[in-house]
Amino acid sequence: MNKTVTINIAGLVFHIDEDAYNKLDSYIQAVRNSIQQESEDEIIADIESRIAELFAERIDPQTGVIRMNNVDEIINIMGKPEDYIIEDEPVRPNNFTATNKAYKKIYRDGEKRILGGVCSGLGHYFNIDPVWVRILFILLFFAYGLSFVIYLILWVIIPKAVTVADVLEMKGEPVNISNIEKQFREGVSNSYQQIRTSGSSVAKVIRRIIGIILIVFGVMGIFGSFFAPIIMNTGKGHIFNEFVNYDEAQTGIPFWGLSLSLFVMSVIPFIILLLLGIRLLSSKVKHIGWVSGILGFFWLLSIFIFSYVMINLDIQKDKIELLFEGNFDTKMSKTELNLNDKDTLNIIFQKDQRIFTINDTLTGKYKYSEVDDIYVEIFESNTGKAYMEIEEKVFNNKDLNLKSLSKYNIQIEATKFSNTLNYDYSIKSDTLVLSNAVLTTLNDFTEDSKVRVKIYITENQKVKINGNDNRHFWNQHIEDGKHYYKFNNVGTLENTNNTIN
Amino acid sequence: MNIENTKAQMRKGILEFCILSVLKDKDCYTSEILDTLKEAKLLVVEGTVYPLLTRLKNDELLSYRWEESTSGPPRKYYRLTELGNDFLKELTVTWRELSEAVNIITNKNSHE
Repeated sequence: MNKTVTINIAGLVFHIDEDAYNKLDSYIQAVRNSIQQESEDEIIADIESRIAELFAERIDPQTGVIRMNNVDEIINIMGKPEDYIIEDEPVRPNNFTATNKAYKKIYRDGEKRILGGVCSGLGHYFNIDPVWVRILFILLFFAYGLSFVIYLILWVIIPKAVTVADVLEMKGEPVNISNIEKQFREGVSNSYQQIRTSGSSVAKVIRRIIGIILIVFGVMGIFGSFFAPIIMNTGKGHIFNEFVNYDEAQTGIPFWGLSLSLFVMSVIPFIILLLLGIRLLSSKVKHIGWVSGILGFFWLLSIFIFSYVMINLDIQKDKIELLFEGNFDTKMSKTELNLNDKDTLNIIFQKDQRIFTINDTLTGKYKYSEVDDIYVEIFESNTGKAYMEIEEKVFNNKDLNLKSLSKYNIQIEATKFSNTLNYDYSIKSDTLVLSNAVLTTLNDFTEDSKVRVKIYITENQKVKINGNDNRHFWNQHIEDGKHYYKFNNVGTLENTNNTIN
Repeated sequence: MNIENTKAQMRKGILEFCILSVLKDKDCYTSEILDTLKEAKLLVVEGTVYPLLTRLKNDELLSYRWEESTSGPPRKYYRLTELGNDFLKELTVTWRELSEAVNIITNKNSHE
């Protein structure tokens, strides 16, 4: 059985066996490669016209099909691709005339592919095992998916090796008839070639679906990208925190430049997705390679600018933190808890009421810290009486040089630092109300701005823990939903089945 | 030295002259030119002729017109231009001189 394809040469239609067609196509490619001059299209048209004439004379009247031996005969008449070379013909610049000279072109290897054959193509081009290229791409994937985008770009830019001539160029072997025949003998060509004439319909449908998905994602992403700089702009001047304004003088890049690079950085991968999608839907779209290359350049440029600014600001932040270092004191306060023997110590956590009155948290004048910054510990009292100690970190601004702060564009008045931490709590007979947050103006500079609440009680003291803020308890195990405890002689709270004895 | 290569080089050198000569009296289409050249055993394979014809045409020594054919694709009929005619005349003179020179030298050698 032999598959037959229909071809049109010089306006005449022929039926030709597929293998014969493949050979003829490679032959014409090889001839084209060896002519390599300005009017090559015209010459090829003349040659094709002659081939059509010869076919018309030789066609088998019974089957009406051109066979391999017909093609061989025609190649005999027409001559080897080398025969087409006129010795003194001026060479088209930047091209090689002789077909015996090998020159390499980069192609995607469709036969040894895993995805698009990009890695195996690169492997051919650089003469290394594609496995190494693949490993490199996988490693680079962990660099923010960098290799994924690069892969997509290369997939679009680099043409696929379709004909045997392409394969020879990919491998850097000279494109001449003997090499082409060698490829045929090795059976390599069977997996190439057909692609140009046909593609299975299932594959087409899948291509289309993937294409549409890519286009949808691309368009959504492009719209979404407009929000990236807007989001950054809501905190204009507050990229890191509330105290550092973006300072153009520090980085040499204006704020709009930073916004633009953020936009470019996020929009370009989506544009490339969109282009890839369009390409999948229609292979006629041209210049995608060029466009993607230019886009890729700008993408890398924007990443460079953005990283540069971010690293610069990070260094700035470190310097500021250094300024604050050593400017904290620990403030201690001790309070008696007046408990009778029968009393149950009632511990309640609640939100700092002041938080609700602060409406300018976004502008950064005040901020409240994480709930996790409150540590509650319960120890046995060695004085026989219950008491409570609160340790707060307090900012001490007497040593801080305000001039060096203003150098970093920190726009905050010194007085606002004085109330760095102000832990809110209250004691009403047997009830201890603790705030589960702490107000601070320096949250971003003092990662260890913690409040330690130490409660000292005597043996057999009954304790009721309200709510489920168990995570505050640092040295005691408080179970969810269990509220009643008794302090035993080894210094731990023991659950008492939720009943009051 | 490859003998086939030398032969091919010699043939290629006079090919332009012969193509112009074929077109001296009447217009021909590509296959006719090829047949004449092959009959004279000047041509082994056709390949060389196509780039050559295009070059002669680009140099305005030849012009062409299309004609329909009943048996195949449309035919390109070539004809000699004024310039081509002059060119051919000059080449003919050169060729006579050359062949005379070659004759004298080869005959002289064979007599010795």
